[in-house]
Amino acid sequence: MLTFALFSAMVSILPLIPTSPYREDQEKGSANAMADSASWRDLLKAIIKDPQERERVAAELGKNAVTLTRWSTGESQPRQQHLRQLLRVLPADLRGQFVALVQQEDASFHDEAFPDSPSNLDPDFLRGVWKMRAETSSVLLFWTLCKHVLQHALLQLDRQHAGMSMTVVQCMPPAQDGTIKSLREVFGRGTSPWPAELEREAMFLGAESLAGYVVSMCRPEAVGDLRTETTYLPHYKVGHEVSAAACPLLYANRVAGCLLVASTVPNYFASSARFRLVLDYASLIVEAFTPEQFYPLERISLRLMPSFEVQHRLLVTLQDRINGLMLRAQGDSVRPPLTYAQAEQLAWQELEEELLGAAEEQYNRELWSEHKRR
Amino acid sequence: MQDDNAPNTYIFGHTDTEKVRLIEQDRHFNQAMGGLLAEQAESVLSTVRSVLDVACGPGGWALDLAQQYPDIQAVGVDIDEGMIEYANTMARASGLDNALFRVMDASKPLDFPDGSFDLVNARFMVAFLTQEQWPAVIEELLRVCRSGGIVRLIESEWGGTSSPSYEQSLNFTILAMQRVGQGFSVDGRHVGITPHIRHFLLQAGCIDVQEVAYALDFSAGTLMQKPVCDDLWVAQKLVQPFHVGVGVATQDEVDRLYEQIPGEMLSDDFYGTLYLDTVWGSKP
Repeated sequence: MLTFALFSAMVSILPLIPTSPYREDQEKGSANAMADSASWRDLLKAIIKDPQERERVAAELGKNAVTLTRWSTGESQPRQQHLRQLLRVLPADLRGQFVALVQQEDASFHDEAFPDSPSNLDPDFLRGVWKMRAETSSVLLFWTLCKHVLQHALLQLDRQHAGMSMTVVQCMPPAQDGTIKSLREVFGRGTSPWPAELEREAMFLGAESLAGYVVSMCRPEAVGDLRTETTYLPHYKVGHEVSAAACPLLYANRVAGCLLVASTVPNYFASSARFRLVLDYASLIVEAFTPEQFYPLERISLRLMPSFEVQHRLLVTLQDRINGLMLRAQGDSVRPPLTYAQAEQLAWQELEEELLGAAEEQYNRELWSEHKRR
Repeated sequence: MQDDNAPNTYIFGHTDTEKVRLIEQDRHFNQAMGGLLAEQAESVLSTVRSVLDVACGPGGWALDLAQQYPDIQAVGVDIDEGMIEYANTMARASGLDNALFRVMDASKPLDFPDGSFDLVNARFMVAFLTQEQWPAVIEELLRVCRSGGIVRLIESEWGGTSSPSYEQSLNFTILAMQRVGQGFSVDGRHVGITPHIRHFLLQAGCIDVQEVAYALDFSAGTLMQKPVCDDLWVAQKLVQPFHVGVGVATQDEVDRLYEQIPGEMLSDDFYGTLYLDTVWGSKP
């Protein structure tokens, strides 16, 4: 079994994200074109002249490269929120120029100014959550409360539409030895450039992740810039994430998982008001869980989980597994038939077991390659 | 119009789960329709400054509109106080000052002067209006719309799927609606509303009436499969009291179907399409 100490070594060999994908050694002509740009469109045109850069900007924005070209030629006009998103994915040294050029056309456009969100939760919203908890049937409570809190949290925490994802991460049930070996993303909501629904991208998380660390340590943490930051916290950048925060879901000194939040903006959670709000929303998500879904800290013994690509190959088999389990249970004359929820839980546990094995293989392979390189 | 003591006839009930479900559903439908007012020409939209969303539920559509068009004042009304509280809470969370929500019964005269709005929007009213109520309600929508403004209706036939359990459950809903005088089904197979809405607008005196239909494919392998199936599954739970209360099914029957729906709808060979019909016309 891989230990936490070994995991630290492994985190250090995870592929590094280039801090500035934009290369400074671009052709001089291109640099001149940027300096001479008369409008933000001209500047964008010069930046995306490099096909690699065009693909990078498009990917980080979550837009098609053709859309960028249309913006640059004036064929279509991006809304202000899209311009703000574009600003954040442009090379850092060109952002000031970009802002100045946009302001020539739209004086209301601002630099990366993200006024603090209100630091307290709306009392009416809080009352609504308590009412929801009191009056919603147990079958629907988890779905209702998680979605309600995430809907509200995204509105309040991402008022400038910079782009945010929020995910409820839950401890998997204990393995045969009584310990919790992984976490699973159970609900996710996002604002552009993330898709609105994140369940399709849901994955297992282990000790290699920020969520895993936060659940193991039972304390909230934030990473300011996943592209550049050197930190003792385990983390890796997935998709549009630039900064992230995670807060454990605690009840009676037990833990059920965590609330994981990511933003496209660097240091988004450095604001104490905003970070405090994340903690408050996490404390409301706790209300969606039943007491038996919380585990004593000593039972949290997270292992490493494989990369998303490896996970995806197995996760697509989930529905077949659920249907297979239900069919087999129907044909069993001794045991009672499984409900859908029971079959789903069993299928997730099957997958967890297989993924833990796959992770061990993947990381052993990577360690061996690293060892050979040295 | 219904009398003052008439019961709230919304078939899914005004639970907190329904508020959350409707917000989620708005997002799916807006995406399927290409936007909030996707069928309206730019030249028309540029003249719109005030919009009323009738039977707005938790306000998802009006909130998105206010967010996307800061120059538009969006007003939502709904019979349920809880829905309106929810909408106002969400508006505050968004920091919006151009969205306002009020408690108002859409089946009664609306508390707005004549010609108050540039565009009056109403969606999925088949879930609470009886057949007899429709003409008067449409006339009232026209009254609060300004001359030259637009009245816009969206309704759905709720589609078809390859899930036998969902289809059976949907059939209970349509039969129950038929029994209480909601919907326009002649044989219990369809909701039957969409062929009527164009004529309601014409009968009320709208001109330039136009129509566009959308199909939302949520079959296996599409991005919409999981979210729409979740939505419909939860809806089937919420509509159970209506099925049982009207007497078209027993609690055991609806419970059994509810348990079978996710396995069928989330399977790899699932097919499903929802149909949405948008009809709009101008007030002379």
